[in-house]
Amino acid sequence: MNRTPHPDDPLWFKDAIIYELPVKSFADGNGDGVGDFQGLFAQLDYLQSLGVTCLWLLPFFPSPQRDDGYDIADYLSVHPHAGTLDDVKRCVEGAHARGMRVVIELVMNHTSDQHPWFQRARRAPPGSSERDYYVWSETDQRYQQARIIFVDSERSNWSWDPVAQAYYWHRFFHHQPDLNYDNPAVVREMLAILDFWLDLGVDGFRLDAVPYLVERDGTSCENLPATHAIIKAVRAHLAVKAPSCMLLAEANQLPADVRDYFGDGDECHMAYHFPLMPRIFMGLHLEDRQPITEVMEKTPPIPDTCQWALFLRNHDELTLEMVTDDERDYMYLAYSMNPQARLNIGIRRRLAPLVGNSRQRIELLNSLLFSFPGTPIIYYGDEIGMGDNLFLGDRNGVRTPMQWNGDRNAGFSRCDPAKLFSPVIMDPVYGYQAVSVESQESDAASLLHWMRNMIRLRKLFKVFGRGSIEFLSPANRRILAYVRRYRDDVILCVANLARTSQPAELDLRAFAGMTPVEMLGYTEFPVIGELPYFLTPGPYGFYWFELQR
Amino acid sequence: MASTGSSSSAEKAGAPALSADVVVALTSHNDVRTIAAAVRAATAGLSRAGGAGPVCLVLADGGSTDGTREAARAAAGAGGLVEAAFEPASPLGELPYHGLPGRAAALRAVLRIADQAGARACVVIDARIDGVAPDWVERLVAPVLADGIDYVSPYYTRHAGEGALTRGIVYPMFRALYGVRLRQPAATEFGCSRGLVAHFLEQDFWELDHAAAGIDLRLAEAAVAGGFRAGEVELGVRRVAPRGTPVDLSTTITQVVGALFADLEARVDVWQRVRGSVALPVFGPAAPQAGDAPPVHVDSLLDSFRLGYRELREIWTWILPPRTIVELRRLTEMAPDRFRFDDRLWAGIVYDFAVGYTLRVMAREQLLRSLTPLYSGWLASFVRDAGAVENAGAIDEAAERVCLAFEAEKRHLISRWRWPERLR
Amino acid sequence: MWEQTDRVLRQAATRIGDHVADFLPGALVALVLMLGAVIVATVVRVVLGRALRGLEFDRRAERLGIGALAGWPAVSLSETVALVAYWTILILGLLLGLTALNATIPSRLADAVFGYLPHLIAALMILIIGAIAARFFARSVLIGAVNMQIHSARLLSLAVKWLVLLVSVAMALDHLGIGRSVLLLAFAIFFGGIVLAASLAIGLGARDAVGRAIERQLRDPPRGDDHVNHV
Repeated sequence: MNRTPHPDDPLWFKDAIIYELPVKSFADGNGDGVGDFQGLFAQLDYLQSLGVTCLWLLPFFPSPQRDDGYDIADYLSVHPHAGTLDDVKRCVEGAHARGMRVVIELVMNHTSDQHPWFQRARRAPPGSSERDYYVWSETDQRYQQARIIFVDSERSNWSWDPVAQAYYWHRFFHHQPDLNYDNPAVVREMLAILDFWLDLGVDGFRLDAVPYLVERDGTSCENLPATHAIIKAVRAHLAVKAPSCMLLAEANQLPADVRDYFGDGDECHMAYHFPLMPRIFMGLHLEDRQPITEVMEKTPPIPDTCQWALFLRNHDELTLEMVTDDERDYMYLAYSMNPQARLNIGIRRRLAPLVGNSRQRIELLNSLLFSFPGTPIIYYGDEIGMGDNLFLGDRNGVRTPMQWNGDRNAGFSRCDPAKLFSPVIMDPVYGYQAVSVESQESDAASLLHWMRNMIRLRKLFKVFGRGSIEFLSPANRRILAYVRRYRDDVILCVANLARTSQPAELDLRAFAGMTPVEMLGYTEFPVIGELPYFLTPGPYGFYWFELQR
Repeated sequence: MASTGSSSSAEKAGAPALSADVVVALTSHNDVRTIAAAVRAATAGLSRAGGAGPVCLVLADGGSTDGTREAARAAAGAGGLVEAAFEPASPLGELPYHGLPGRAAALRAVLRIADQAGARACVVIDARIDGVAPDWVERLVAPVLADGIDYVSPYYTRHAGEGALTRGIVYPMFRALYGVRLRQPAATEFGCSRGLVAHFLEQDFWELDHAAAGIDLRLAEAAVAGGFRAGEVELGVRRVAPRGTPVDLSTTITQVVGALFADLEARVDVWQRVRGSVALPVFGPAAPQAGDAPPVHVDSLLDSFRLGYRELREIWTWILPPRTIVELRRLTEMAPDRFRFDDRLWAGIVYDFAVGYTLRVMAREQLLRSLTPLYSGWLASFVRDAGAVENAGAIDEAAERVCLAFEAEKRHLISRWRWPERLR
Repeated sequence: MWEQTDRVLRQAATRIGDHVADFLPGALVALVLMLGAVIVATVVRVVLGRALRGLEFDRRAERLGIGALAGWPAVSLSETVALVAYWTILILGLLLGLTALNATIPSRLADAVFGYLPHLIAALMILIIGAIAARFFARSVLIGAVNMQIHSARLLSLAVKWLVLLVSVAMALDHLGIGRSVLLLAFAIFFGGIVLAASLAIGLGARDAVGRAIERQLRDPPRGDDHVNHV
């Protein structure tokens, strides 16, 4: 029973559980082999029963689909495969009725080269406002300090346009020209797009590739003050129009740089904590807490009204841009012996295959995700431990159809299997015959049930989303222990990163006299005294304790 | 005349500018036998309780057809009565256990009047009570005005067999959940402060259909879960004039226990944090037991329990764990004179029903009704324990044991709630 | 000879021509009808499917327990309904088309099928609803009877279950027009028999016992806890 699904709490995102899904891969309602909003609508009950409170939909706009929809050709409508605007509206309303909010993508940095703006710009005379929607240059030597992001496919950030007889600027693929935010008309257009989707009922936007909005000579063209000014303008616009609408920044930068995207609480509400993810995996493989505690210590404090977005895996590769060279080498050796799994500077795998399909490791990682300070994001399919397909190019291997049941096409679509936009996973370990929502639904001990219970448990305690964190330092470095506090709630989390049982001696003198109550089973442990508190978590075991007076 | 000039003139003008320090409301439905006395007692009580400020008497009548309204008007005299306007409940559906259909709407209308009038205290009394004393109003109001209590609940002296649903399920579970020893949370009388009136009106259960019958319990829950200060006042013996045909036991259970269970989900972050319980301030002297204890047929209760076990065992296996079923079988095989329903077993059963209710393991109405034979079994044991010696001390002791069992078993409820496994 | 042959051939040709002329409009109409049926069926399927999805039919049905009863977890219920409608209209269109051809047998068949089909659907619906209702009522009656301390509660609930089931089966068969009179007779005999047997038993065999029971009812007050206020 969710009697107040939409209390108008502007900080709702702090307590949210976000579920990331590409509409294309989730469920096909009309049988054309591509997921759509009809299919999503039919599965809203599943999402509600999972307990997630917010859906983040990957791009579903008309697009030539050369970058999985991030190359948008029209911001104000829906890709024909995904459905119609009415379908979107019905989905948003259906989600709201079930107490879930909806966040969509706002790709501000670039458009597709098929976008009418670009087609118009390349033909417009130089100097005109239409032409200045994009960044043009006579030479490809400007902004040389800007790095190339997609090193595997692009040689330069400039490409020659024969129609315009000039070079245009692109930070990503050459078919994604960057918009020119020095042109006020572009800002106006973006705000109009924002308003359009707000009117449709959307509750938030993920700002894709936000550090690259503005270019300046002699800089790396990332995180520039002018870029922040644009974000502030967007936020100021929202503050008037929809105060509880959330902005989530995708800034793949060091935490100190990402910190700036929160501003003084006047830029984005949320931003991803990118460096945490690879270090959690590293800590797990090293059986050492140090990489994790180190990155958390380096994480700067953020304004009270802001929040980190945490995730284990997402639709992109597990990016290793934000780690040192040694760490990167270690990660490659540890997690991608198969060179096919590498892409750009990262590893393109799902959660389950990354950790060798070990249920214990999956549970441990999720327990960290749910208990670290921030809002957890679950990538679709990871709640049932879906696998990936390395033989599909780019990042398509982690975007295969959702596995609903053991029927044809994994229950994703009724179409001819050849018509599917992407083959379903069929290997004996992760294939849909073995891993599916239906089979896990009927198995009380399945990962799906475990996830559902964990989500339910996490939602009971606001401390996870809103509390402070302090790390304990037991002598055994395989033990990660931390205390979360919010108002009267004190939660102690202890995780064993090793594959064997470990002793943990915790210095809990600050909590002497309190009783740890294990949260999952509500079991009371002995009262904390002056002596070190002794626990022996099993292999990859973790405890969550409520400390009660 | 209790009502001041301003309130009576306001009434004629459609009551937009009503202002009162104390509001007393009578809820009635075909209570022609008792209404006049109740109105007189309330009027007398108001004049004493209100002190210098303006006061107001409200009648919330749920569509009486026997002249209750007229009798009330006659008893109050001209302009002495504000009649609350609300949509009476539809005649369809089951009669609630307190006999006032649309009680939720009636209370909401009363609370709105109190809110608009800016009353510092609001008291509700059910007019079917035979023998409302003038000092009841005073006693219910005084803690609010003088002691800063937000929610005043009456405490009536009752025999072992009376109010057993309150003693056996509602009070112990309420106490274990919210950590407050409010002994009669489902009573149809209460007093509340201005802040609490506003809090009540903000609640979102008013529109729910199933809330109507158990509305008093839900108000008590809202008060306690909202962190308001609660207190009890001794009101002596409560004699009730029957209202229409009495509602049968299993319907009463459905309504009262259903109200208790229904709020679990919404208030989960309150009750899962509460440990132990605290006593409430009690105002007024304890009243002695009066009148004869109503006869309770223990044998017939036991029969009903055994029959229930024989026929409903299969349904219970959906809700109760195997260990409980085995213990129930042992109970049915026990000789009647040695029959003893363990308190912790009872607490565990009630909690398992609460979890089953939340998870919808079967139609909720059926689930609640199938609790009746178990309750009969527990009641038989309780009456035998406490009722043999008809004194208040023994009853309180037995009731306290039940409460402690509920508090001890609460961890069982929380752990099952947090990690629900398939029940069967 | 030639002339004769020629005449006969001409006659044959004219006859064939006539026949074709007779037949052609019918065939055309049939074709149009069938085409129309295909179009209508497709439209109905799409519209019905969308409407049911829009009404969240699947979720509601599941709550009522129909989904599980239907037992096709792979295909959603709304889809099934849409498919059934689609094929029904298609077959009806085909039969209609055959009628237009003026072929006697198919047309008679079509008539019969047209007359029968609604009954078939109605009968199916009655059976499904009956089965769900029987289960639900049986449990309600069992709990209710136990709470009223009726010792033969299980018997009562079983009786209710079978009564509901039987009535729904009888209604379904009646809709199908199978053994209408026999069914009526059987029911009459069955119920009449039960009532007669019961009254005979009470009147003759258990006269004294019943008398005592009624006397007790009148003499004794109802059970004590009926008066007790439980709340």
